[in-house]
Amino acid sequence: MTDQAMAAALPAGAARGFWADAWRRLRRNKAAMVAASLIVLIALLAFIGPTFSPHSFDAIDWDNMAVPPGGPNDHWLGTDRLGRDLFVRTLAGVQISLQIGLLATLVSLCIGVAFGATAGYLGGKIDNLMMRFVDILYSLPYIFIVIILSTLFERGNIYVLFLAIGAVGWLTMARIVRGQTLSLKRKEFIEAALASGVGTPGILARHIVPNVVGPVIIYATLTIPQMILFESFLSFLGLGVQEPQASLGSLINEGAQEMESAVWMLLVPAGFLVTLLTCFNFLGDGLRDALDPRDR
Amino acid sequence: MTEPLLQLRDLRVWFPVGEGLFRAKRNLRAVDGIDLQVAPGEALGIVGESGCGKSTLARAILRLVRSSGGQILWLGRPIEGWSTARVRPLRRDMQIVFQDPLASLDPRMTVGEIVAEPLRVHARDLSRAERRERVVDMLARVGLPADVVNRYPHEFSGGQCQRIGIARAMVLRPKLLVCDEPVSALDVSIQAQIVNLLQDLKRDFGMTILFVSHNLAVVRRLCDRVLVLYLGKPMELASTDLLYSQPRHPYTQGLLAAVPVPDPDLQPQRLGGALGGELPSPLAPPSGCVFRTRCAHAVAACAAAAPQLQPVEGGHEVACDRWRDIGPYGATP
Repeated sequence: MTDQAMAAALPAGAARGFWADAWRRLRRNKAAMVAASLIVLIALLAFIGPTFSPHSFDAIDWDNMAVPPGGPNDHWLGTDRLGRDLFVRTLAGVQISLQIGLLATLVSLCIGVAFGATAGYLGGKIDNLMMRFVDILYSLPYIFIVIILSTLFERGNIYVLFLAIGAVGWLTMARIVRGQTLSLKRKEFIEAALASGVGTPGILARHIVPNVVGPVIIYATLTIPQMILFESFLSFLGLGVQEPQASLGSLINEGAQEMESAVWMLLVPAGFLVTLLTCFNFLGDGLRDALDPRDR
Repeated sequence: MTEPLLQLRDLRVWFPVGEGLFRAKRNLRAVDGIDLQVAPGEALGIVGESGCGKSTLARAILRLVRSSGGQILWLGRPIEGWSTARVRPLRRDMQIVFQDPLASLDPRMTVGEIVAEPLRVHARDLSRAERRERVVDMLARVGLPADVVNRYPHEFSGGQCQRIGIARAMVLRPKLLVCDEPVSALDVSIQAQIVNLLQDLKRDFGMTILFVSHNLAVVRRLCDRVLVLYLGKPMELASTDLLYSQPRHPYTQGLLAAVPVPDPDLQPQRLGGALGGELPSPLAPPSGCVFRTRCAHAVAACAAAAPQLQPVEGGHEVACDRWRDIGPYGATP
């Protein structure tokens, strides 16, 4: 066959990679796109919004304590029991919750992928040893570990605490990546790389990890809301963010105490939390549909 | 005769199976005592039914599976015990083309990256431009235009994928190219193109080819010599002409008789009888001659001792004690 005939036999159009394909499918998914835009919008609002308000998150307004939203003042979403602006406090809480969700997910991602890929690829006794270690960590009560960690580290150092939570939260990620790696390493393209003399680190970095990235992204997107929820839970218990810092969880905790007299103190942070979590879950679902190789 | 490129001495690959607390360890004898010499520039075919150890033999030679016994001599040096790191420099001279063209290409890499991978390992001092030049040059040799380098494997047909696989294997100009059933996953018309391509490459680069296949017609077209395997043991080794014109081993005769003849009138005049029966489990191979359970010429003595390869004439060797009685065309017993 001549070069011209060969070129003609190729599909027309620009080279379409896996990512371009996935992006095209994701764009067609309306729910996921709306969710993604909402997440971006809320994130922008959380980081830029407070500068438009004349109040700071920890300033007390002695003249306006526990006022509802829409009152004759510049507290757009009302104030809390101590007269702090709820709009600014909620956005500060969203900031912290988002940062914590991303940070903890990133930590669990890095540890989980490296651990799972190594265990799955090396196999045999090493795999057995590594995965039994994961099983043991799984069987320890999660909340117990976090309480111990939160007493070990100084209270209020939220980032150290959530680095630690991320470091415990990688277990499921490691299992997912190991499973994917086990099926990948029998593929002929891995054998081809071995035959070319590519070493173990090269095979892991250049062949295994790029091929598990799809499921990993999906699981990571679904981990972010879990982490945010977990942070809210800890803050609700008083173990997370300390006053005067606010997270969505601590705001909901305060709001719940005033729920009978001032329901907006609960509804405002809860509304943001529910919207964020729903959006992350929709985006995760959309990514799963877009990246699922069975669909190709 | 020049020094052989590759020598196998009593090569064995056994896989331990059924290891358990209360079960005895058994061995699956995938490759069981192969002696072979491969001269530089030769094309050697390895044929046999599915599960006879062809692919395992090919992988053992490339050190992709560990051999359990015997010797592999590469240019006279035994390499079977070498560590992975010590074997690595040798890999630039021995490459492999796989059966499933698409599965052998990483779906997340562009064609350019795939073909460049051996260069990244073995020719590290090449600049990006030089590497790209060699990749494009090699792609041109296998009949693919330069603009495929930015495309992904799933955009190509099976035949095109196999060309990419061949380009990856040939980009380092290896001395030995192992082809593990490279055409059996392809359409017949594409098969012919790929075989022609391999012939052209062999003419241009002079590499040695180990061609593993169960397709006797393709082997006849491409190979100078043929080794017939059955249950991991060598049955017959001969030049292509002799093997196809005067097969000595009943198994070879059966394989050749099983090739369909595209003329119904000629059908009854096939050589000997076609093979009956099933391949015995390689976990429990028959005693003596492993082929005796399916051999029309088997006698009581065949169960006693395993026949060794014995010379017939002109490098023709056969592992059958009764080859003189059977004759070259499979006389009726």
